[in-house]
Amino acid sequence: MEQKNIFSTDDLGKFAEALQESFMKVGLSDVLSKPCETTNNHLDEEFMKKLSNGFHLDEDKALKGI
Amino acid sequence: MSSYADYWTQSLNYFGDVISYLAETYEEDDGEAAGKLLSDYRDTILQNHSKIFDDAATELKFYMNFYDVRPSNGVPDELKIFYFLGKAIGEEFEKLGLSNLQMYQLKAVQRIFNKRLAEADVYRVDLSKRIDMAIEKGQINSHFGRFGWYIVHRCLLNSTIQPK
Repeated sequence: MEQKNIFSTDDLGKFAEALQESFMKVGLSDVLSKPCETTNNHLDEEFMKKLSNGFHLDEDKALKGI
Repeated sequence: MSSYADYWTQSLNYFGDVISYLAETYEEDDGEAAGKLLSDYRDTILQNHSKIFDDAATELKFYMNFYDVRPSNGVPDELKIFYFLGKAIGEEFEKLGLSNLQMYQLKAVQRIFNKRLAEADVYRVDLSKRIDMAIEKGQINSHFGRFGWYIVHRCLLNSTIQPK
């Protein structure tokens, strides 16, 4: 199954602005602007890159139907 | 190079993909039901994203403060994106009376958790089936509480990290 990308680039831009406001309200806005350019942090970038290539839709027998 | 914000917003597309995938796999029709679910998902996110982000950010902040979580390099892990964003979306569907879509949303969170655990060779099929069962019966919150669903998956991933 292919990725549908149901939200356009414009939609994602609007979401990013709203997200910034939400994080600012709770004092977390600095987190959002941090670049994730290395794997030397808590977030697994390799996994996120795989998702951008449709990994979440790949058939995986290890998941046994889930 | 992506920022943390990019990963949050892109995850809205990933959830939509998985909802569509699961609905086409499990709904016994010609794809009409899956199409309706995806359309409702898109419309709800477009109309209510500010409220959803507010709820997700508030819960994330509470979790980080209460448990004194300070991520290395200031970037919280990917499971928090899917958990806090995914649950906030699910709760919005619940408020709007979209219970079937809420179920698929929560199952989408679990599928992405499954894929992450499988990548680290710590996927637990029985645990996953039981969580899916709780989701289908609308019991995920009463059985796992406010953060238990996230914590159990974080602990499984942490078990793969060698202590320093």
